[in-house]
Formats: sequence, C-alpha cells, structure tokens
Amino acid sequence: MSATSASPAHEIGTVPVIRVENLVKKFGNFTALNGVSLDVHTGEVHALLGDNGAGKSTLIKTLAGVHPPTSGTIYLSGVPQHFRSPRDSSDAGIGVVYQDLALNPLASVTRNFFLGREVTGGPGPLGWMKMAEMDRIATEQMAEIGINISDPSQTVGTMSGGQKQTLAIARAIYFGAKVLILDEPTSALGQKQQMEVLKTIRRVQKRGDIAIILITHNEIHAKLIADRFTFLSLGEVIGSGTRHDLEGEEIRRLMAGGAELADLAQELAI
Amino acid sequence: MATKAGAGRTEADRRARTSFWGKLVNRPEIGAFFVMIIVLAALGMASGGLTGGASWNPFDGTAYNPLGLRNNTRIVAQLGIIAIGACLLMIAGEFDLSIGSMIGFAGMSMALMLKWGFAIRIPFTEITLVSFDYISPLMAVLLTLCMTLAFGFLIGNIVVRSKLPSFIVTLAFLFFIRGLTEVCYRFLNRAPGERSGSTQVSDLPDFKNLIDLEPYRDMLGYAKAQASQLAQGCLSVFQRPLNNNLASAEQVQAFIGNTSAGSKLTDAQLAAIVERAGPGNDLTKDQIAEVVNQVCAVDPASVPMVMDRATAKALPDADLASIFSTLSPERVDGLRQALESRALLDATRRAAAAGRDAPGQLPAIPDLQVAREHIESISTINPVANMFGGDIFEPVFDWLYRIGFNINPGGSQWVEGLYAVVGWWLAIALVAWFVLERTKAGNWIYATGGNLQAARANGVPTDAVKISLFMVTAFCATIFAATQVFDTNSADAAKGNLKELEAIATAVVGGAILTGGFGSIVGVVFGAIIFGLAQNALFYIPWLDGAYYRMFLGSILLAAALLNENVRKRFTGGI
Repeated sequence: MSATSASPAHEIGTVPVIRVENLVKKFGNFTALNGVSLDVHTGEVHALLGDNGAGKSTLIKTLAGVHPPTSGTIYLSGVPQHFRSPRDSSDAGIGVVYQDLALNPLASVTRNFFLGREVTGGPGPLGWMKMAEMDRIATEQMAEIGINISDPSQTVGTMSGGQKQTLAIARAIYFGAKVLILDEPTSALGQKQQMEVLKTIRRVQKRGDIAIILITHNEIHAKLIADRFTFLSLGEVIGSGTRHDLEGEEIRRLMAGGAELADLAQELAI
Repeated sequence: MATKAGAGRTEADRRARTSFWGKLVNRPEIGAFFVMIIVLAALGMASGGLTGGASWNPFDGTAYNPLGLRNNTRIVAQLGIIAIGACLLMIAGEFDLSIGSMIGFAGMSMALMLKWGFAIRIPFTEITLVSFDYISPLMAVLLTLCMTLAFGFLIGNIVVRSKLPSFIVTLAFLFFIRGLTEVCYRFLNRAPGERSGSTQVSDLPDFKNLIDLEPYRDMLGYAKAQASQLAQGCLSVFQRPLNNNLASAEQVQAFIGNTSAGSKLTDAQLAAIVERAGPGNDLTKDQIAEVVNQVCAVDPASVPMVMDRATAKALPDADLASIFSTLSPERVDGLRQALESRALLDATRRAAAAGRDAPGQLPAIPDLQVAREHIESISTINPVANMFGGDIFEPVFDWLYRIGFNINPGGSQWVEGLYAVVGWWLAIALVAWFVLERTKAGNWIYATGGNLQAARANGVPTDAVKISLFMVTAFCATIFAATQVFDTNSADAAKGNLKELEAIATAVVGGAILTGGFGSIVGVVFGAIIFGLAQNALFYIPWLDGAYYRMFLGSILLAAALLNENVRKRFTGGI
C-alpha cells in the first residue's frame, strides 16, 4: 500500500466507527486542517502522528465538539454528526482523555471518576450521591483495565501519573465511549509508567468494542501498540498505513513532516 | 549485577494503607479541632468559678455556666453562620469581601421596612407602584432576601463573566453596599420634615414577644385607659397655660401645639379646644376636662390590643384579675401546679444551701401570678420574629433546671434557653455539610475550586456553581442580620463591619485553602468556636484586655494557613 494515499480502503470491510471526510478547519485566515480524512475501526488502535503544529490538537478538538468544522463531515457508525458542544460529542460516544486529564487533584478517586455524572438518589443537583455504589464501580472499572487501587477515597493528587491516566481512561469507557481519543498519554511519564499506560491501552483494545485514537510524539510507542497510522503535517494527511506497511525509518520521516528530517540529518552530519 | 526483583509489587502497594489515625490526621479540620480543645479548656480554667480566680476544672468557669453558655454560643453562632458561606465559596475558589456590608444592608432593610413600611416609587415622580404601611416580620425577611440574593447574583455574574478576581469585585461591593446602606438610612429613615435620617433604628417594638389580647378587650380597662390617655395628656398641658396667664387664644394654641401631647392633635382639634375652653371662658377644671375629652375622644374600640408580653404582665391588677376569671378550672390547676412545684423546688434548694430543713408548706400562688403565667404562655403573633430573635432549646434548659443545673445564685432558674441564632447556625452547618459531602452539588463545588478546567470538561456548570455560592454568602449574611434585628429590635449602619474578614479567617482556620478545592464544614464549626470564644473571652477573664483578641486571631490564622498549605502539598504530591 502506498504510504501517501489519503484514504485507504479498509480490509476488514465493516463500517468504520468513526469516519472523517475532508475536514477543513479555519481560524480566520489560518487553515489549521486542510481536508483531512480518517477512518477508525472498532477494536483498533489508530495512531495519529505529526510534529508540533501539524493539526493533531485541532483535529481532536473538532472531534470532541470543541470547535465546529468549517467544512467536511464526521460520521459515527455511518451517521453524519453535528457537534455543537463537548457534551454532544461525549453523548455520541466520543471520549477524550486530554493531556491534563481533567482531574481534580484534591478530590478522591471516586469523586473524580463520577465528576459531572454522579450517581444520585434525589432530584437535581441536590440529589445525594450513592457513595458506596460509586466507590464500588470506580474500583471495579479501574481493576478491569489493570489498576488495583487500594482505597477509592484516596486523593488523585497522591496517585502516580500512570494511575491518573488509567483513571481518566476508565472513566471515559464507563461513560459509554465507543471511540477513545488519547492525547499524548505517555508524555511526561517515567519509563515504567509509560509501559503501564501502553498495557492499559492494549487491555482496552482487547475488549474489542472500542476504537482508540492515540495521539503521540513517540514513534516507538506507536509502533508497539498501534494497528494503523495516520501522519499529519501542516494540516494535511501526508501518509497512512498499517503497522506492517511501515518501517521505523519511514515513520520517523513522516512524523517529522516528510523529507525535511533527512535534510536535517544531512546538515547535522557535516 | 545486583538487582532486586520487583515481582509481585504494584504501584498501588507503594501507598501505605492509612490507618484510622492516619486518616484522621489528614482531615482538614484536625488542626482546628486541637486548637478548639485548647481554647475551650483555657477559657474554662482562666474564667474562674463564681468565687473568682482560676481553677483547674474548666467547667468551674463562668464561661460555661448557663449564662456564659448562652452568651458565648450566640457570638460563636453569629460568626459560624457567615463563615460557612465564606467557606463554601472558598472551596469553589472565590472570595466574598462584601459579607459584612451585606449584613449592614440586610439589617437596614428589615428595620426600615418594619418601622416605615414598604413602597416602590418611580424616582423623580409622584407615581407609587405599591405601598404597604405595615410590613410583617416574615415579609421584611423575604423582601430583604430578594434584594440580598439579587446582590449575590449580580456579584457572581460579574465575577464569572468578567473573570476579574473576586477579591476586587467584592471589595468594590464592600464599599458600595456599605455606602448604599448609609444613604438609605439618611434618605428613608427620617420623620416628615427632617432633612436627613438617623443611621440607626432603635425603637422597634419587641416583635418576637407581641401578643394579641383581643379576646379580652371587652373586660379590660386597658383600651379605655389608652383612649383617654391622649385626652389626659392634652388636659395636663392645657391647664398649665391658664396658670401661666397666657393672654390670647392664639398664644394658648401655640403653646399646646408645641408640646408632645399637643403635636398629636389636628389644628381643628386645637382650635376647638381653645375656643371652647381657652382664656375668657372662665371654666372650672372639671369643665375644661370635659371639653378636652369631648374634642380628643378616641374610641376605645379602635385601640389595638396587640402589646408585648412585658406590658401585658404589667397590666393593672383589675385587668389581670379579669384575665384570670376567663381561665377554666383545669387550666388554673395546671398553671398553679407548675408554679407551685417550681417554688417548692427553689425553696427546698435555698433551704438546703442554708442548712435548714425543707419547707413543708408554701404560701398559695396568688391568682395574679397565675394570670401572668398564662400571659407568658400565649403564643406570639410573630412566630417568624420569634424564630429569628427568640430562644431555643427551652425544654432542655427547663430539664437542666429540674435536675439541679441551670440555677442562678438567687436559687431559681437561670436562663430560659439559647439564642435562636444558635439553631440557625447548627441547621445551616448541617445542610451545608450534607450538600458538600453527600450531594452532586457538593462534588461540583469541590471540583470547581480544585480544577476549574477539569470541572468544565466534565460538564460541571461551574459558572452556575459560583453564582449560587455568592448567593449563599448573601443568604448567610441576611440570616445573620435577621437574628440580630429581631433579637435586639434595632439596627445600625455600622453592623457587620469587618465581619467578612473574620468569616474568611474562620474558614481558613477550619481548613479551607485560599486557592480552592479543599475545606470542611466541620472545621468551620470548630473555627467559629475558637474565634467566638476568644472574642468573648474578655468578659469572662477579668485581667484580659480585649486587644489580645486580634493578636490571637492573627497568630492562629497564620498558623492555620501554614498547616493547610502543608496538607495541600501532601494531597497533591508536593505541587
């Protein structure tokens, strides 16, 4: 398969759970995304790679409903979507785990897990929370993707980076994410914790009912875990392919935005 | 290579399982708890027994005898109410410096409505939209709440929309509302003809103790006496000018008109009196009285029968006897037995204290005392005023009296109950604790202050949370003011001055951190006890100067802030 074809035909042959077609996003006269197309299938880890400013963040924010697209369409299981707010997107089944994880460090695991979606037994905001049930669900859900927390009432600030990442992922899955978007989950983590997070991602993938979009800078991690790659540069898809199609060298070249890295290497070699 | 196998060990194991004590030490209120114990013990020991001087038994002190308890809990509760509002807002990451001014404003609003009524006029016109001469305590509280909650809503909206620090926004409202309060006093609290009103109201009736004696109207001489009082006043004034040999009718009229009784008469009444009884008519004293009574006649049927309990109990003996005659025999028996058992208890205790034998037989309770006891039991016509300014826990204090506590040095029951503000404090604390710890809204409050972006990303309506909490602080300030107005029957433009800073200090001592996301209602309750007792300590410790209070407040505040920072670092892993 050509590494530069924009929209590869998918060999599994099913309808992709999320399909992005010719997505264009302009901020004033700045074109952040210029006709991006992307297919992601259930049970698959799709790595989205690209250098800084390639348009990765704009793409996920558009998928998350933060920015409405200028043109182009997002399909979920074949149905075109029009997200007006992050709430629309999350209700439709897109769970975004941002880099800052959207956690409150001073509150407990359970309170964070259910933040904004508390299990209550009364009317409106003054409904009382079913703490025991919430504690149980949070512990179970986190155990399911591989972290045993000893105490669901421990504050999130005391957890390791990997545990926090797991909490955010478990939360997104529990609240019905069919597509999980992970924004650089391994950055700012230690070596061992990076591996923990990758293992977590693998466990989620093995469930088989969730599609994962993995945004990363690290081609080694991408190569370890991703089934499919898409490379962005300057707001356009410059290449895509499966794990087997691509060599490490090629990945590095595409990640840096095409041929420039080779030129740079040449310059540095002098 | 010397390596150690990490097999079997997971990340979760690195966090030691915290013991019961470990969990306790991590509670935000733990520091406040220990300081509270120290302050409680120190005040008790230093305040001395009834004989004066210090004692090692803290319960010996005058600070915790029934009267001390009543006075101390009032100060504690007043501080506690506003500190709870301040604490909730601080947990959500904002401040409110307008609490003190809001107290002054709410007090002004209630007192002026109760004194002058309520009207809405279009400014610079004569058009009046609504006008009520009389505003009930309930309406005064509700209308005031409408205004203060609107202020809270406005402040909250300005803070969340402008994204300015709440420090600056609420500082502006601190000045604005205090100024508005004074302007309202100057403008609205003036009698007709006065250029500028007084900045205080001190002559409100004792609303919580007003009772209605309408059922007894026909048998009481009170209404008649009230009706003739005006005439009597006029007469006494009127007889003087004759003695002073005022020459003309005009001079007599001018003199009467300038007296307090005369100023209540209309010009026509004055003229009629002077014409029929003035100089040149050569009437006897009785004839003059007749004329004055005819002119000034007030229909006894129009005299209102609402009066406060103290006035009712001081009615002439004949009136009390009339009231007594209406009581059923069972009722009389019940009241008399209660009074007798009380008198016997007191007498027995006095005898025991003096080393004498218990009295066998006491003189019978007079009928008038039974009538007064009955008046005491007539319920107030203003239950709302009583709810804010009356007493609570009366049965508890009655019971304490019966089992041998709550007895004053004279040998009878010492205090009736605690101030109602204590009940409000406990109720507000309970509700605030439940909302914060057990409801969805509480989770939102913590999240809004802990990580605003995270709360937003998870769909928490953070702006609504903040605006509602600014309204909660306004609500707390209004309750504070209501308990004060109905307790003291007065209001003052300077009420609540600097209270906002005490409230914030109390919240910090209770474990709230200034950047939000952390705090505890239990801690604020402890903090209010610490500062309330310290503030009141000078009344119980003879050698203590009141100036030490602020030094104490400052030191404890700093210590608490340092401790809280330490706790926060432990919770966030040192960030």
